[in-house]
Amino acid sequence: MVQGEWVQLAQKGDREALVHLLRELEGPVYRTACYMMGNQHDAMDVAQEALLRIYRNLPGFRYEARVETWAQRIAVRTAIDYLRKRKRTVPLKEEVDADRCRLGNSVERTGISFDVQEAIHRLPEPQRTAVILRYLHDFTYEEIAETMEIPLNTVKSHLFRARKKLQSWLADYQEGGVLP
Amino acid sequence: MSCAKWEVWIHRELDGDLSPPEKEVLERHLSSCSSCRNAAEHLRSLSRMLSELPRMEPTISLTDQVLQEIEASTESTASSSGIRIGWFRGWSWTGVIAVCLVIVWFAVGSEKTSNPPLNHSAGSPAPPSQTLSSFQMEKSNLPNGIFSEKGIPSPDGRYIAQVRDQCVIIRDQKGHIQFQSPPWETKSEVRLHWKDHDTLSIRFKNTNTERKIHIPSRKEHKEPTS
Repeated sequence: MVQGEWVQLAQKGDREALVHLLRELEGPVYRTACYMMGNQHDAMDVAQEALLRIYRNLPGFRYEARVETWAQRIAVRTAIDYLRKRKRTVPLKEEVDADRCRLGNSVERTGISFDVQEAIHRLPEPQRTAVILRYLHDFTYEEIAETMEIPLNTVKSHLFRARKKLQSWLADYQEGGVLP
Repeated sequence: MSCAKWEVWIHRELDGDLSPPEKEVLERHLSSCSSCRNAAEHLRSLSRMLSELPRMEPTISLTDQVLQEIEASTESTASSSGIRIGWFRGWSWTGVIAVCLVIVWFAVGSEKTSNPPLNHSAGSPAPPSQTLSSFQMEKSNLPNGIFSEKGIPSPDGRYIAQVRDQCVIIRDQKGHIQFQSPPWETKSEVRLHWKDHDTLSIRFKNTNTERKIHIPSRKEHKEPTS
């Protein structure tokens, strides 16, 4: 069954459909949260809150967007809410320390992947979001635009600028022959 | 076209935004421009790196966590309106292990006819002359709308009364059906309400009658509503 049908059933109060839908979405939502927040601890909180918001907003979902982009929009917004809240409440030093608590297990935290994750986290919010949607979810320009609710050209601009920045930050890997 | 403009094409190519003819044009340019070729190689390398980033999965089920949270908030909302839905906890944790105690008002009917087991009991008043095709629950008393249509939990959460396929069904905490009425035929607005821990009230708007179902004794009483 396609996701839209699960949504319809869940909207009608079918609990099994709701559970199925949440299980389908939890991985992608968590992935976005991981890369938006930069650490797993916050990512768990953000993903959980995002799934709750998905549940609460489900009755109002009117299929103007695809389920995946709608869910990602909620995930991104939830992450941004947390980041802004953290900025207001966490002293700078602690914030930096928290950010250094990287993603993934020991394997994921080493080498190129670790540095790329660091670099992504340094990107401005909209560029980071565009990169996450493009590379962690394989979204097209249209899907990114739908998720972020911005024009297509702005999506391209975010992606192009993000890649330019990442390229300069990760130049060592590219010029030092580290990459295959 | 300047190299800066070709760079935009390189980016678009990475995102699969170039048509096959455009790709050919780009490749022709790259074969003749070392500067753009170099830029393309670096960007492709970066793009490959990004595509290979780990796609993390949560180490525990977030859905289970969320369901528990929904239940907790639903319970607190429900308790303020006199309803508890402890059944939901057991349901969510154990999945569906259905047990059934179907009760109520049609027990005897099932004995007289070949209807499913849940007809009226012998001594109970006859059902309304009209049968019902749909029930309407007291949604206003139910928190978090998405589950409200699933049924109404008894105050202590031991049972859940719900309507499905023109029947009233009562389940226990594990989801086992305890009672299922024969289907109603005529449409009427129906409201379900738990009188106490094990008595369900069903009010039929069209006949202005109320049925009370006492689950432990499986007895039903019918009376006009005020």
